[in-house]
Amino acid sequence: MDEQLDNDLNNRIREVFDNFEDPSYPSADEGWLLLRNKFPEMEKKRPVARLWWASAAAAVLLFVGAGLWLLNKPQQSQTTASAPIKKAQEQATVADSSSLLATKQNSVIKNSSDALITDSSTNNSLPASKIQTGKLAAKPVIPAIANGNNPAYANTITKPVQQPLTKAAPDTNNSKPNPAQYAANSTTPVAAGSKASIGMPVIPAKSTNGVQQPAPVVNAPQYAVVSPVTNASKSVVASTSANNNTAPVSSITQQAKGPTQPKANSMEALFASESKTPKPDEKYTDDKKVRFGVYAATFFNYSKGSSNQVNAGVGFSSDIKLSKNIKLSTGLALAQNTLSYNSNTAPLNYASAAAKPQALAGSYDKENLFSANAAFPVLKNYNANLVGLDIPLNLKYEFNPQKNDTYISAGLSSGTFINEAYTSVYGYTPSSIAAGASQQTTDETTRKNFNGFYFAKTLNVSFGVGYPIGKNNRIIIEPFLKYPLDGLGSQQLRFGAGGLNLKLNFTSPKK
Amino acid sequence: MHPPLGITEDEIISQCKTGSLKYQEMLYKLFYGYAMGISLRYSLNRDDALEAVNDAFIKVFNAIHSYNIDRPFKAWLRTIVVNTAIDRRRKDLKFQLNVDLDNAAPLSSNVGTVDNLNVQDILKLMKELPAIQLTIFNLYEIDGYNHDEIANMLTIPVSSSRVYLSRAKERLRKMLRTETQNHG
Repeated sequence: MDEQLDNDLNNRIREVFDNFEDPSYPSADEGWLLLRNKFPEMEKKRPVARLWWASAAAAVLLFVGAGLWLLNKPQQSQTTASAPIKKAQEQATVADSSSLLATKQNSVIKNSSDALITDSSTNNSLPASKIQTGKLAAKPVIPAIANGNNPAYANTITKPVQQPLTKAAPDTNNSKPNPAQYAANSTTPVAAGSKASIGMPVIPAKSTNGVQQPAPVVNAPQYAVVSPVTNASKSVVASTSANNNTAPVSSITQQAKGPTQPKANSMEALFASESKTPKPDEKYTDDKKVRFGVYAATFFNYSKGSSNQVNAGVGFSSDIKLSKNIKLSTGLALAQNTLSYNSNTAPLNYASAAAKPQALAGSYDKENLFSANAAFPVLKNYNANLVGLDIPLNLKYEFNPQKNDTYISAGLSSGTFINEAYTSVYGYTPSSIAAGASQQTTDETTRKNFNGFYFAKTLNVSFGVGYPIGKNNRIIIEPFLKYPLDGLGSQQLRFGAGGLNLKLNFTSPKK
Repeated sequence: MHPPLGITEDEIISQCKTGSLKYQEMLYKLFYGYAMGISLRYSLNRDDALEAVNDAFIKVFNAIHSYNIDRPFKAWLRTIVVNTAIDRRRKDLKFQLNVDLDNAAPLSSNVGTVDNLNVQDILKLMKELPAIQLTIFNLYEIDGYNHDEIANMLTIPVSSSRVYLSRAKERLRKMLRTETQNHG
């Protein structure tokens, strides 16, 4: 009995529910509106998530770079701290030389010996060879001065010194007041400190004790690290470091004697030795033909009528060396671009947007989804979301590639869009609502993938400053601007971008 | 509800795969009643049923690119709606898992009233069932799942599924008899 009731009941329930539809309450329209409160939000979360991750990656990269840079900073401080000292000494030297010029000819020998000491401490390179005994100091000094980094100074000194140089040597030994004169000439406390540090090599030289001579020579490479600018110091350091530091006198003497040969030969020898010897001050050499880098970008998209939207991108770059200062920079970047126009500022070239309302109204009328024939939806908002592949081709001018990575760059970009999504949000005017239209908005999204390739439609301008990370890597902060030369994407939107690239340039270690 | 004139169900589904909101709206409205009919059987009330339906449609829109258009869409939608509705009530199901196993009393039958039951009557009767019994009755008797599948879905032993179904039937018989006596 129960089984029969169960069967009858089950059959009846299946019969009732098998194709049961219940659109009574809430209605499908109401249900759809409720769904739209959730569904677009869920759809929009993805770009936000991507943006968040990209920004987080850029931030992490920035912090890692800053951390490494700070870790690297103490080493740099040793090398860079004495730069002001050297500068002060240069000023003192110039002041001293001007005083020399002012005291005229009668004190030529003494002043020239002052100049020798001054120059030796200025170049920070070869104090022992210059201020040794009279024999050692006399001969090699001349080319050292002649090759000095201050041509005017060298010219004023070398001419009067050349002949009485042998006489000048003993004066050099007696030139104890010279450091003091230094201190007197230099008014800044830095110069006084420099006397203590830089004058060190001078003192043993005055003692004419050959045993003490290696000390300043050992110091010589340190000074060379300090002062990479002057050619004279570089060349002398190069030659000094090429030789063994523990055999300073003979080697330095040889080096010092070298310049007594014809000038052209000495320069060639110096340059040759320089090219053979690695420079200790150049941690980040620029001799690679191609250098690669990766970067994360955070930027604003701008377009006429669109509110600025924050976006992010990533990419890699390769710099191909064309000449000493000029490089060809190219690469590949993946970036998201979003634009948001309101009804008054929708892009003019989006002609289809203006034509959409009537077509949309017609289609909805046909589908009986909207009741009022007189109700035409109007464009309320227009959003574009484009994920693009960008291939830049820029010329990069580096101001001083040997020293740092400061550069300006300009060029053009080509590329394509992996995904284009254009969303038009339509709403109803009060008159339409009064005419019977339900008060709701509707979106229409158009998506396209890889819709054509644009060529050289964006102008790129950027400026970069690099900071070393280790011996081979460099982190670069690069503000950039992309200016549209023509419309982009399937809707030919003319938009640009401006922001900041955080770039990590890396080179393979030297073999 | 029928598709708009000139557009087939397959075309709507194909357009939904491109992400067109317009066609997603069409699809929603086309199958809204059907989905609500399923969801109502598993839910406490209409609001709850509507939320389950909307959650199910969001899943449909997000996963429609993987839908094989050769299969009947209704069956696919039905599976999603059922699972979504059960997920929403899973907490209730666990809470009531051990209730009412021994409360059912034997019922005498009154077969003559069954054919007169309409949707609202049946829904009214079913809402009197505990959630776990209601769910298992729906799954087994109406949606065609077997006890193994139900046990997997609800993470209960197969034997429990059988017991709960039996108890649900007993309770329905009892309520049906009571209703008949009240109206008789």
